[in-house]
Amino acid sequence: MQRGLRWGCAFAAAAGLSACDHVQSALAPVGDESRGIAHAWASMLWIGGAVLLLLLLSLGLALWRNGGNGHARAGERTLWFGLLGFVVFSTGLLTVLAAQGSMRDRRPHASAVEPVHVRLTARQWWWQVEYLDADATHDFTTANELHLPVDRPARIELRSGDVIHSVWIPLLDGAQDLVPGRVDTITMTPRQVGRYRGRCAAFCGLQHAHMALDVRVDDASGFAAWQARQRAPASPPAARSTIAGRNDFRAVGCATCHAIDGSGIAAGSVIGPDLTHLASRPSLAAGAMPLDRSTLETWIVDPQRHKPGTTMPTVALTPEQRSDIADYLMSLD
Amino acid sequence: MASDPMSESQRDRGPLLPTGSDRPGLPGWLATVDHKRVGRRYILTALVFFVIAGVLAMLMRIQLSEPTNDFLGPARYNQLFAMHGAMMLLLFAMPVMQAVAVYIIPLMIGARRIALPGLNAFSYWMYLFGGMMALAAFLLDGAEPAPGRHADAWTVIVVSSGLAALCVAVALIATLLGMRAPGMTLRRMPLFAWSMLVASMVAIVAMPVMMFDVALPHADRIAAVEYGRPVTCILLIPAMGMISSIVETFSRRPVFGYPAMVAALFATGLFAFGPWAQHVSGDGMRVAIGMAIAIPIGVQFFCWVATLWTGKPTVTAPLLFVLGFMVLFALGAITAAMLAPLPSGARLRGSYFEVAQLHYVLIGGAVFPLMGALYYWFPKFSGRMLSESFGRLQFWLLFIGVNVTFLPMHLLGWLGMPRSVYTYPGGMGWNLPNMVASLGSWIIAGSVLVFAFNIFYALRAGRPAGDNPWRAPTLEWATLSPPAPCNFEAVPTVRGREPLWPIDTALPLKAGLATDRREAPAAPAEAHSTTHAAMTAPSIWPLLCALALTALISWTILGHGIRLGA
Repeated sequence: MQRGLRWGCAFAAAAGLSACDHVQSALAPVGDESRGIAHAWASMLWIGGAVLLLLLLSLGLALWRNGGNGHARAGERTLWFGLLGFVVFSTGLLTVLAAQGSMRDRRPHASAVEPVHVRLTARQWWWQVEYLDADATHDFTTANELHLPVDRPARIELRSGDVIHSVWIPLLDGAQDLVPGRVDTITMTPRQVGRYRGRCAAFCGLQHAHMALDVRVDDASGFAAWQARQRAPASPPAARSTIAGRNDFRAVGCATCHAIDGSGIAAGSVIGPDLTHLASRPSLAAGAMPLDRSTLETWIVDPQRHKPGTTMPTVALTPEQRSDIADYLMSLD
Repeated sequence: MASDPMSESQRDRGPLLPTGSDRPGLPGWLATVDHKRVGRRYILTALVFFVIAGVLAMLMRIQLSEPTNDFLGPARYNQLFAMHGAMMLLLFAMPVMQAVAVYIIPLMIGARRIALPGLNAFSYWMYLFGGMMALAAFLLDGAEPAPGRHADAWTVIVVSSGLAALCVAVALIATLLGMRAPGMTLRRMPLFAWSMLVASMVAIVAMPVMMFDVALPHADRIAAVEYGRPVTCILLIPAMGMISSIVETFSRRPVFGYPAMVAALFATGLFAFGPWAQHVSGDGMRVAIGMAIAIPIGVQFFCWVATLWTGKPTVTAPLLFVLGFMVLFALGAITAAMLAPLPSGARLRGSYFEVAQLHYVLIGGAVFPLMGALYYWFPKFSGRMLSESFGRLQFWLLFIGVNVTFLPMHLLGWLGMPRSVYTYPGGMGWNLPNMVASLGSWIIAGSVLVFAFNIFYALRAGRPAGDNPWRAPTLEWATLSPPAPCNFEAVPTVRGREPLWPIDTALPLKAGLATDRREAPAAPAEAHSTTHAAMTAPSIWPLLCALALTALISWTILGHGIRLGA
């Protein structure tokens, strides 16, 4: 596996890229699952490379040799034996590969450590992320970000709210489909603390291009602290502008789609992301833009300009309203 | 054998030549059922769709040349890529293979016409009108994105091109099984003819399923899995037959392993349906069925290389394209195996690696063999040679262009770029490979321009070809270039697998055909010709039927609006 890795990095370096520390690259896997895949990949790469090289060599030799005697069928016997050998060899090779394929097991397996239980629901075009606990009062919901503790398996329940999506976090695992009406469960075991990025990897409509998932792998204490923070209700607005912002948020209709836990704003149905701790997230609109006060305000003013086709409508707001709402949302850390 | 060799040679051009010709002018043009005119039209139309779909691809590459580009919006981009795929596959690659066969197969097996010529002509009109309807729907719709609309255009493409492919398949099977020249037993049939027999059988099984599938709501995704492979095989198997023809001619020896090649063609056709075994129990078994197709393809590669190895290959433009096929297709097929449902495959599925792999298989497996075949048979189509130097120039432009465009996409997949995105953020290491890929698409466009120029130049001032410029062994080279309406003045009799080899031996001919009536020998399965079937008279009905059916389909799908789930 290590060899395959080095090879991959060398390849990337040769292409003039420093890709090995990348947040969304498949070159340097940091999870058990992605490492297993990378291992299988490396062996396929060697086999495939050898087959291609053999073909190119024999083709080149055949042309360079140019030594047949025209219409006579010289050496056909040898060729027939060669063909037989080729068929036997390739059948054997495929059998081995197929056997290797059947040994794959992506179902969750028993583990010494209690896994984190996450429900990931893909929607057009964002991710709903629910952390489930044995004690249901500890459940909480966030969006477009997945926090995982390092060295502890995460059981991720995959669902789709509308069409077929696929979640692909190259550094942690291969792509896995999320199919409407079906619940699949996968396990991810990250082995390295860091910030990564996941993606929808199945064409899912107009804004498939803007459907990213921020992934943060943290140490145990960092993860626990984040969880505790997320479980808490939203901080109540204190300043004049944030109070006005919350009132506007309700008045202009934002609350129809977005829930903010603890502020008396509960959405009727899940249409837009939960915003309870919006300000703690690194990006906005499923990775469409980084999150800060100014991007948030431009987003609120005209979502259709930044992500054409998104379900979030453009709402007419006065400059004061938009500033207050942005202030309020940025206070939700 | 019921035939008597005639003393006169094919070169004595007698009074029969105009037999079976059409009326002059537009009425003749519209009513023709001559497989050569229909075939030529088919090829030309398919090439036009190729250029249109290629322009769509270039627009997409312009959009993706840099991050957060706003050359195309998401709605337009998504339409383009759906249309690009549908047109390339169903309006270009699949029909063009059948088109070459419609022209060449009757000549290659020494028949005076194609079987069911009316059906064949009807299939062309169906294909043309279906393609035009889809194009019109796409263009009219381009202005305002409405979900579901392009799915309707897609349905029109699938239904009409599927129906056309089905009709051609039936006509070709009937021709191959019923109209071979006296003496051409199945065991003597050229490999291209075998490949068309197999591909037509695959088409007959796969096309109705595909057409039915798209009529079901929410079928798009499942459908792509289920008929993607059979459709790929419908264009790949003929390509393999073309390659066998070209390798044989330019190696100056019969293809090594004829029985193994025929068996491999059938096995490829069978394993085309491998992905349909989705519900077979056991992952390993399913993977094995899916990957088994590699074995017959490998057998064919082995036999081609063995033929080149033991022959005296002359590298002319057609063979150059075949060599290009071998390199590119092998790369695509090997990376396909890496993406197969094996553990390794999960790594890059849904990424740009998949886009690269797909294009290596389809461009390597269809465009290169097709170009080889067009360079190879163009002298027969037109009576003139394409320029060899322009051919080489075109080959190198295409080969380099394809690699510059699609090789970086492997890297993009590794770097985590998902496929089917209309834009991407900067700072992910994706900028440079995307820019390189976009520049590469211009090189491909350049090669297509060289090809177009080569054709124009050859038609105006090309060197006259003569009957058999390549000194090839099969029957299509035993008649005029371009052939007379009745194909062969005197029907040849076949004594072996390579009827025209050794070159310059006189070809025995079939006697007893009327010279004052349209007649063609009808050969039963083992090609002991006893009866004569009449040539089919031109008819306007194929055109009228196709018009009526297109109107019906368009009204049902576009007008009435069977909406697909968007």
